[in-house]
Amino acid sequence: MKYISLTLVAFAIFASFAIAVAQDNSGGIGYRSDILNDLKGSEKKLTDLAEAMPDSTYSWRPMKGVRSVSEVFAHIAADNYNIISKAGVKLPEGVVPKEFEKKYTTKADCVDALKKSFAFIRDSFNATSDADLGKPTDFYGTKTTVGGIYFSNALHVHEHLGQSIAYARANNVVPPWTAEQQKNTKMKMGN
Amino acid sequence: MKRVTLLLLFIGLFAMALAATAQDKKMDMASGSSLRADLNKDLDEVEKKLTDLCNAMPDATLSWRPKSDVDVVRSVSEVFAHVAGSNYFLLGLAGIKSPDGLAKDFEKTYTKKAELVEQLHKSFAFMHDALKNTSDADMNKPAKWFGSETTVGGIFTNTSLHQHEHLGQAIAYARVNGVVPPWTAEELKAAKDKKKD
Repeated sequence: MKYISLTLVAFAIFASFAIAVAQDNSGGIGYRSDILNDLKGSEKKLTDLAEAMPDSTYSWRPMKGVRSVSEVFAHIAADNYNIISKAGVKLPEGVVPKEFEKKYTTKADCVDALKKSFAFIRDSFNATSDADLGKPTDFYGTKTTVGGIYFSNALHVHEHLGQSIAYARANNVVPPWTAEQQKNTKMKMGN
Repeated sequence: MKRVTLLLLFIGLFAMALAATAQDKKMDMASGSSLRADLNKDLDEVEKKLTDLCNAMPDATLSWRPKSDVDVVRSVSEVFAHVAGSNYFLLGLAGIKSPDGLAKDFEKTYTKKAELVEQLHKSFAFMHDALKNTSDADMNKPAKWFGSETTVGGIFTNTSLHQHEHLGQAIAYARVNGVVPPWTAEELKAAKDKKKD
């Protein structure tokens, strides 16, 4: 009988350990670290690109009725709030995303708005438990989960990052990370 | 003693049930049914936008590329070909085998509109099939994305992010060439028609 009890204790400890392992996707690899890595990478590329664009290009747009350089950066910042709010996250006091494109037109404004909006996503994502990320929700009429909204936001950010890169190229600006790669390749060849 | 044994048995079973639930939640969020549905829906939308946009670009614009003083930037056709080629290459990082006989250099091989649209369709069909054939358990398996630790599911999501980045680039290329993306043209027409009513 004692043997059975000890076996059951061991079994209970093992099962508890299994719960901990199954729930532990806050660190290591997986969805959570992918989203956080992507936020870091996108924020850096966008803010570096915004810094690299000459001030005179901020009002450039490819054709009438299409967003200008500053409007694209401001739009990304605004939608970082708008999209995440669809997951039930409250907007910070005083943040009115619909005003961003008219309000933030200079380089300093755009970089600041982008940084704040990425910090907002990071904070809200870190404050959301794994259980809450799996909760069902609605995104513009489509059924998804809270985690799916963070993924949709990343897709939105990347689409406008691609647009911003094309805007930069149309204005003969090489994205800073590409310029760095080219410099490193040149240095390597020179060695 | 019997009571203690029963209690421990109960704790053990309860803990196992909790572990199973926790694992289900992880898969649902990270690589299970919800992510699969999100990915499938997104693949459909991006495929439609890219192929509609490619069809809307006049043939004369397919070789257009932004001017650069220091390097060569992808042309319109090279962007579409790059998306198609990368759909195979990137899933290869998850150990998913590409079909036999693929062109070695999509950007040099496919330059015409019909070819680009066909290659885009084929590459998205490949992604849909790959997603269908990857079990939830396999989606959670570790993988590497250009040196970063991720999962097979992460390779699928990163491939979608890659598509969106180049979709944004392709839209901007279209606008620079005076082309309104077809879905925007449709929205504008619907808004105009509504005003008339």
